[in-house]
Amino acid sequence: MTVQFRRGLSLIEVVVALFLVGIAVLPLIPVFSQSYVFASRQVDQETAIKIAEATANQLMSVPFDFLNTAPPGSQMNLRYEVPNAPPVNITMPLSWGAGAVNGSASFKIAQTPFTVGVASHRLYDASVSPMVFQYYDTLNSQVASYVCTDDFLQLDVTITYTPGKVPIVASLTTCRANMTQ
Amino acid sequence: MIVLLLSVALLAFLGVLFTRTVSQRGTHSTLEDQAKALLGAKALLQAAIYKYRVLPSDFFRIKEEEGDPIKQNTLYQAWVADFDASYASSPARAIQDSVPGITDIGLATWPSIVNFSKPGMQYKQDFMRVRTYAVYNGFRKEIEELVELHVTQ
Repeated sequence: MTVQFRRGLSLIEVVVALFLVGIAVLPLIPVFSQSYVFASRQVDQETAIKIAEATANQLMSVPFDFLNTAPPGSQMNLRYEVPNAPPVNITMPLSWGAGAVNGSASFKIAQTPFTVGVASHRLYDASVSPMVFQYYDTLNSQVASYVCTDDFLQLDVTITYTPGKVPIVASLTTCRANMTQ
Repeated sequence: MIVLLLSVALLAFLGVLFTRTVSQRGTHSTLEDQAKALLGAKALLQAAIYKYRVLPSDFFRIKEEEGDPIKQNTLYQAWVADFDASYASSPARAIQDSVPGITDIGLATWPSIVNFSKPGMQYKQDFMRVRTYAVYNGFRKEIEELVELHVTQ
């Protein structure tokens, strides 16, 4: 009868090894929480940009006068598709003030509050500083100018969100011509 | 030995996690820059479409001068000057200035025309593909739209 001996680990060896591993890993634990903070912040940042893009796109389908002069009762209906959640539908009243048409609305997506701000002002004002196009007048053989009779709007979309204590702002800008005629 | 292997594996996992976290930081600014460039291109597209709508016959005149390249180029240069931001008074410059950070903006391609006009028609009814671009913080984005042109002859 033969007896085989297998070399094992004593309890003290295991405890010392775990202690050494613990010392090595302990400073790295904040990486986990930092990663979580970055990931959740990035989701909010991407959501803010997507909201700004969606708002800018929907501004293209609002009646031009609403964004140019904001007659009484002007408003725009905004709809945002949210993954794994019902879409967000809000109505944003538009009003004239400080040389621009302004609108603002607030809502929450996944516990993060977002505020959408819209400002529309005339990059070219047809009655004051109209947009002028060049073309070649073949009848008179010279470059001629066409003075536009419509306003040309600059649209600024601002998204303010507060994932923590400090509000963060994302903004996008585009323009819109009057295509109604 | 086993503890050593586990420790190495754990450290490698943490290293990968940390590296990926750091690399994610720049993703947001990339997305925002691309969105700004795209909306800049869309702004110029609005001006371009508006011009083709208010001066359609003059645009067609450029296409009709295909037999005379010098004259056609003269007409073309006069037309596209509005979409060249290097001209201080052009609409393209005004749009570029309205979005700080846009370094270049313009017509990406000369509009191609899908010709639906037929001989004997009293009008021209064609479709034109307009494509504009904008560059924001090194990111170039293009956008195009099909525009219907209707010119009574």
